[in-house]
Amino acid sequence: MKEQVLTQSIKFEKKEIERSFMKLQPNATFSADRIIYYPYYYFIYNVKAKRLFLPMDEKVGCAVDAINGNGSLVDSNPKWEASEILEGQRMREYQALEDCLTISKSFIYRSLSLKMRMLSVSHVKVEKQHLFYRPYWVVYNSKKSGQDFIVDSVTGQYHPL
Amino acid sequence: MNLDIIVFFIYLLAMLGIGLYFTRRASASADHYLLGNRKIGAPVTAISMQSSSMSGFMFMGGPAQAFQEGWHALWYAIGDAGGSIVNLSVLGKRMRRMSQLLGALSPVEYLEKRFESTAVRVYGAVVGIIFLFAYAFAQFIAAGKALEAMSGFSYEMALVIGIGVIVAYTVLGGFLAVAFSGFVQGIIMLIGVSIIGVMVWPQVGGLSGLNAQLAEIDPTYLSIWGKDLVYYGQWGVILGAVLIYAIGYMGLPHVSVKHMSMEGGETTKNAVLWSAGFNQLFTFTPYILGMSAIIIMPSVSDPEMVIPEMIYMVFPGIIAAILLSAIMAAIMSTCDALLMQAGTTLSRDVYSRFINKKASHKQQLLVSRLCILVGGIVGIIVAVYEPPTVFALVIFAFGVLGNTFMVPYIASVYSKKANKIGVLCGMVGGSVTNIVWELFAFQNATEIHPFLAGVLVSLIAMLIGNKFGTPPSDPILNAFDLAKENKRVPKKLEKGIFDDLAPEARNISCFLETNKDIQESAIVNWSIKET
Repeated sequence: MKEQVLTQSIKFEKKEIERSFMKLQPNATFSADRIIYYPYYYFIYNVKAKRLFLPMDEKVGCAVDAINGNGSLVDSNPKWEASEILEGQRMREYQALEDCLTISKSFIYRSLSLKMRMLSVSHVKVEKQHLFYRPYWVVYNSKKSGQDFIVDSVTGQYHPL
Repeated sequence: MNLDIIVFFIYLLAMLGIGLYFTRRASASADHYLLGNRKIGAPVTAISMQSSSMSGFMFMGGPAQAFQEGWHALWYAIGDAGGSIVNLSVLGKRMRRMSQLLGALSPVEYLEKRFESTAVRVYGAVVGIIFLFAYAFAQFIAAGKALEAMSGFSYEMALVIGIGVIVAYTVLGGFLAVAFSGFVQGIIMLIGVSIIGVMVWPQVGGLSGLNAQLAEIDPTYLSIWGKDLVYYGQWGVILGAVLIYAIGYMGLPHVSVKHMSMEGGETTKNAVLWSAGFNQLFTFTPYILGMSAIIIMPSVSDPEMVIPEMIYMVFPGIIAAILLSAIMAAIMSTCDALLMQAGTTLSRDVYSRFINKKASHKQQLLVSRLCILVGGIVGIIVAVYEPPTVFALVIFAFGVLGNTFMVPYIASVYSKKANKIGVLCGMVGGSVTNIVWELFAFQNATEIHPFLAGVLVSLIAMLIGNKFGTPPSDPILNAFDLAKENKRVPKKLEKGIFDDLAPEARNISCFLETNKDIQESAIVNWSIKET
């Protein structure tokens, strides 16, 4: 069964990933076997604050892992694409949007408190919110005792499975 | 008002101008502050990071100790340089993996989650806040002294102006922290320190000349046991001196903000490596300059003023003022980061958990800023009435932090049996021992450094406490096992592992395991689509 969802486009293709892994471990064969779509909630906040010399009126982005509820800051306003993905490729979200909204707000305040030099904020309002899926490659090592990996297909960053 | 203080304020205005220019550009919006500028490349980011971490200890504390004790002071530098590498490669790796698995954003939160105890978090947060402020106070004193040297104001007046500028900068909206101004500042300091080194080096006849002249003045300057052999045979003191800087900084409750890149980019990771490289280059230089001062400026009245005095000796007035301004601005940046962390930790971990549980986010932010203001006032009082040396205060703060956190951190990734009672006993035992050892000067009687005493008591207290606590839960034990895995990954591959993806990797792994059947049909469909 297929369903249409918002995803990020794949920047690192199968062959490229396999080639890179084999360069790093030449005695093994790697196979970028499948794509798994991982769910996140995306929030864009408008933040206004009074500061010396320059009042702040900015957009701050936050992504919340829809399975664990962990927040992350995001660095740009990405372009989404509507894709049809198979049931077996898509992980289900465990967190509700409302709960993640609270998590993201708390995360944004904490990040502002730590990094922005200002006495107080006058306005923090969510402007956009939606669920999106990020594609991860699952890369299998042909060696029986070898390590398998996931690869973020947007950045190419990887981690052992 | 003399020329130097005018130069200082012009310097600050110039940095403000750079900050404003880059902040007004669309590319340097909130992302610039929150995530660092990702488009300027690793070396530039690294120099910027390095300039903001060059603290009062580097310019005043370390050189003063070397001026007073000779080569013995280098034990601290060895710990600083070597310890960070050991820490990063041995403990750091497992801890990073574990903290990602537990979803912890700060070391204190990590300990709470790993040992499933709020008491651990509260005690850790309170010790963290107090000693972060103590560390910040050392920067205040350094800033006051640097400003005193430049302005000719009295120490008290310089202190009030210096701390006032730092607190206003932190609370009301500083622009110096923009990566480009940090970069400019870093370059000025790198060139400045290198030129001082190049000018002073021939004057003392290189390293051999320096040693020969030190030996003529007092051969014990060359001893590993300190001037006049005051620590002769006291391995407990030496070991403590090496360990303190190697481990103490782990106790600083650095708070990280997880970042998900929406585009590609490796700048941050590479910048950390570049920055660690620069740090190695600059760890020993201030100590060597401190020892050179014994030869070329033996009559310095305040040893902590060795570097500022050297700057005036080596450079013409206006250049010296610019260099001192850069040092002052670097101290401000270090101080600013410490204060922000202390304020945020206090408002989140203490105020909103125990004093006002219903505190809104705005109230929490306000409390963190008020905490910084109060810290500034207390800092002025401490620095005016009972000013300790920068070195003594930094070592004390680092010592207590290390004694509180070192044993729990190691236990968290190397001992499956360690539990919350044991860890809490270790934290209390270690920190209290260090404070008592310092207060009652037990080092003289026992020949054991306060830090080493704290480590031993912390370890024993944890082993005893472990007998009384309940074992960790299954999810924690699973995370423990996962954190120590990766043995099959070759080094080349292991270097590139991005630890932030640990939670995703774990969830995807579970997903693949529980959906094996659906997965197999998905592969077939994927292959069809691909072909």
